[in-house]
Amino acid sequence: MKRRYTAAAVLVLSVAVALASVIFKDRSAYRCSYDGNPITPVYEVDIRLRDGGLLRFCSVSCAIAWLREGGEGVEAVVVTDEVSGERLDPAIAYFVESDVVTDRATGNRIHVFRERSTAVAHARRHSGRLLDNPFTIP
Amino acid sequence: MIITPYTVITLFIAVLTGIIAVILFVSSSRVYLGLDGGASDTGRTEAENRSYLLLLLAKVVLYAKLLSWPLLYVTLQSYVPYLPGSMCIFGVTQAQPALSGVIQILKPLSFLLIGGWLLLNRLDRTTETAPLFRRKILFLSLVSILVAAESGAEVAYLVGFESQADVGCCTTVFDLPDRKTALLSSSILGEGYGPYLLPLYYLSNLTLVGLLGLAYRRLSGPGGRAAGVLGAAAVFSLLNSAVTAVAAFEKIAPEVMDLPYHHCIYCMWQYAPDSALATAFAIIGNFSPLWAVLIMLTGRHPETSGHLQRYAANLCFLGIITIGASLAMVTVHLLF
Repeated sequence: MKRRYTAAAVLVLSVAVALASVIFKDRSAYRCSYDGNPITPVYEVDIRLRDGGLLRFCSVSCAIAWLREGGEGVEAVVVTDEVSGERLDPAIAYFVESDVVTDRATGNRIHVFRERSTAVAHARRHSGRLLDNPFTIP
Repeated sequence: MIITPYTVITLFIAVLTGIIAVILFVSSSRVYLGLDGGASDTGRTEAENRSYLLLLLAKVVLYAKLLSWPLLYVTLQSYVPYLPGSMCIFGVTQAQPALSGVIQILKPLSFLLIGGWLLLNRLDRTTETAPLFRRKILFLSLVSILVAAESGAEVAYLVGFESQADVGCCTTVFDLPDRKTALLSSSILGEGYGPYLLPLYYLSNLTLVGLLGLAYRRLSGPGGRAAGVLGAAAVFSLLNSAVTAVAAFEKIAPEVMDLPYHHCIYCMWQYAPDSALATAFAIIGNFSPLWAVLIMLTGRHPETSGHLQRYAANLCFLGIITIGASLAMVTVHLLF
């Protein structure tokens, strides 16, 4: 009998821990503003709006797609160095288009690096090429 | 070398257990060789009395070594901010891939054997004449070699980390279409393996629970003939471990993290820390039948027969509970 109580207690506690983890997870923070996809932090692109709003995208492709589709009121774009996770101004970042797909849903192949050497190494390793800053506002 | 509070604790345990493991190996080998060749009852009793401290030391060291497995991962997690490119434990393991691979094989192996020895020691202590003493000492000398080797490798590993070493991110390995788990799944289940992997995971785990339940019933009943079922459960637990690992990378981790294209279990532990507990439950559950077989093989003696059956039954019960808990936790994450 004692054994059954122990088994029941372990199972109930395990379910409770898992439920607590699910309930307290902040899901809203991880969704892309363009396609609703979950955001992998190392590929995140943020667009800050003049009205104080912040849009978060799961990839460079999604952010570009949103801009092309008439995104307005952009104050600044922030990209993420996928090596260190550091947030960068696109003007000082290096962009590489390679065979490595960051998100199969969008098919994004554009990668962001802070260091030119890392960008070149990634391009060499994964049949890629360096791109100009895609967020240049004319 | 990267120094965090966890490095200090892990290194301290590794150095201490490494040195003591060498002492244990020398002492237990001497005791065993002294017993070999049919020592008299008096000689054996003397050896047992002399070995009291040896066994106590072994118990303390081996319990500490059991805990050092999860502690190693906590230490590696603490290195993430110091290694550019790493976003999780996987990146950290890429700083010294060869040594990391060796340690990740030695750790579970020593966890299994240490568990086996601790059970054998406990079983022997339940008897009046300690009939398993000789086997226990031989087993201890073998486990001590492994513990010494593992501790040495762990010290070399932790000391060899270079801060600011550039490493790769898990996404460039686990998220590629030709990752190992995807290739393995597609070669066994076909290209469209996706929908079949989770049912296979549940089927495999529930089959193991069923086998353990059957073994438990037989061991708890009179006669207790469960060797066949227990052996089948032990062999099946190896297969189940492989199925669980593949399902964890391919399906469970992306679902738990809500990142459908990210297949890294190390990131899963980071995003949902309770998944580390589910992983620990799965490991203990899969090790339980192996421990039961190990204790049945090493602890067989007329004086231990009653206890041995109870021990094996308890291990089956442990396996049922822990696999059940792991399945329940994973199911909650998959449903919500």
